[in-house]
Amino acid sequence: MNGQVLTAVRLHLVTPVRSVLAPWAVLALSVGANLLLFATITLGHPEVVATGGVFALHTALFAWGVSAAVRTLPYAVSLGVTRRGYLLGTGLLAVAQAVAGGAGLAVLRAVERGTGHWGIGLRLADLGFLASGGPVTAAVAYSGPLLLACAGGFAVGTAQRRWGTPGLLLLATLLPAAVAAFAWWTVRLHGARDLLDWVAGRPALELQALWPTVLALVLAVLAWTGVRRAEA
Amino acid sequence: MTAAAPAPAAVTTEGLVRRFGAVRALDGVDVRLEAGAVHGLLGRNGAGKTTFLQLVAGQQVPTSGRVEVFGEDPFDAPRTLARLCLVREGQRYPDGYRVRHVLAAAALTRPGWDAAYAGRLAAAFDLPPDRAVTKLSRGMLSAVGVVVGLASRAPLTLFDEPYLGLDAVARQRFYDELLADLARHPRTVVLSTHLIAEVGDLLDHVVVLDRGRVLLDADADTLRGEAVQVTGAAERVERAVHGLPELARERLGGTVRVTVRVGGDDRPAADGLVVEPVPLQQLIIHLTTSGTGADAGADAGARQVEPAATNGGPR
Repeated sequence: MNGQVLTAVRLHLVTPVRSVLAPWAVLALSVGANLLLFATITLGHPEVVATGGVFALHTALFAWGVSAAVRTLPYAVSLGVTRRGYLLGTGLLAVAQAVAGGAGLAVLRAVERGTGHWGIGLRLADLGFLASGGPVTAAVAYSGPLLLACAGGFAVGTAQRRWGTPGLLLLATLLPAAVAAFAWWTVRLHGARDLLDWVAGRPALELQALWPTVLALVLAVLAWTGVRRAEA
Repeated sequence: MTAAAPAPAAVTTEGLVRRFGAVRALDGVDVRLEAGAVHGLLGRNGAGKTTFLQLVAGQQVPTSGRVEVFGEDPFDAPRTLARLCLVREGQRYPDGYRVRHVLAAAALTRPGWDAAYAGRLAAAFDLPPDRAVTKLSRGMLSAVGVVVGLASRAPLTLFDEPYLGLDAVARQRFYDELLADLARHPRTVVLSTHLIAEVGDLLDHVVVLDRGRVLLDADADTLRGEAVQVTGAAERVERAVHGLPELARERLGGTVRVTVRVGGDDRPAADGLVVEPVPLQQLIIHLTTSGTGADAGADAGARQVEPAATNGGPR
């Protein structure tokens, strides 16, 4: 492996608690809080409830991506790590985090199913729109959005470094507008029903893992345009 | 007889320009820093010192012009970047970093890193390894930079105001360590500083920047020999400095002290007078504020400074 890429990975791992363990600690806290809360709420009235507790992991990885662009990137450049090496190394670590996160959530889903949804009908990880199929398929499905969270955080952090807060505000305004315009144009071209039918006809894994991964790659390429001349 | 070959250059810049919007932080800088010497990069706030060092360290991209470090453009050049180390004032660290993390990161990225030496230096500067960098005082943060800069043993080490916040004892420790380590491991050092009086004796070569241009680029020994202070009775002093370019004048009663530039055999006669070398700081202040510096700036890179006035001559 390229020495610069490896150095970038190792630089992230200088603080393993913050870089690797913190997202899991955030997930554990979220799971614990959800279990406590819903065990109390549903006491004596068991019913199936779904929560977004596992998205704590996505949020933590998004925050890691922001920090990797805003704080660690300039430091790495000041230490002589090349920008290309840093982006590739950070991307490699993001992939590892996403894969590990996907596997972890698949295990969480198995525990959830094995315990009758924690004995209180609570669905934390067993969310059909996030993952379906067997354990391996679920792990792959969970990984896509996690990778997107890392890439999204890095892209936002890069925009913040490049254009500052006004740039971020502009991005926050223009991006939804662009998405809305694209959606309007697509619906106008194909019709809403046809479009929904087309999406519904796609394999679940494609929607859950492939599209988020492609979007993550697009964000990584966009981030490179901001990183390649980044200053320390 | 053949002339001695010049020492190889660690840093060469040609027509280096860096603009930030309408501001020209560097405006056509031509500098050659010889390898194996201690260079002083001096100048007032906003002179362009930090920008110059960041360009040399490949941390910024020039607007125009050229910068070479060991013969190569340093921007994203792994081989060159591995051979240089820039210690910046106000360096920011990643979230959650403690002192030991800074040293660990330096060990990962600095091929010449001496962990044992770093440990000794950290202890000498009273740096607690487990203290979060966000909890360090300004002086302690500076000390962290000093430890990284020294223990990196990079062939080109750039210190940008490394001792802001350090007390006098800690600064002296830094100078002592720098000299001792340079003796053991010779390398090229660039010191950007305001504290000319403190570092004056360390320097082999001086570059003074002013508003993004080179005001003075001179060998320190030559510079030290370029001016003297003549003190004594006014009449005798006037006779002694007649015809010499005057840089500064102080009068106290019947006694006068005149700072004049000298060259070759044009030394003032010392009969009944005190003739002393001018401290580097005083000399640079005189050269950069007397108007002579501006003339030198017009001829960027020139070592000689044109006189503003000549005693006994037209003003």
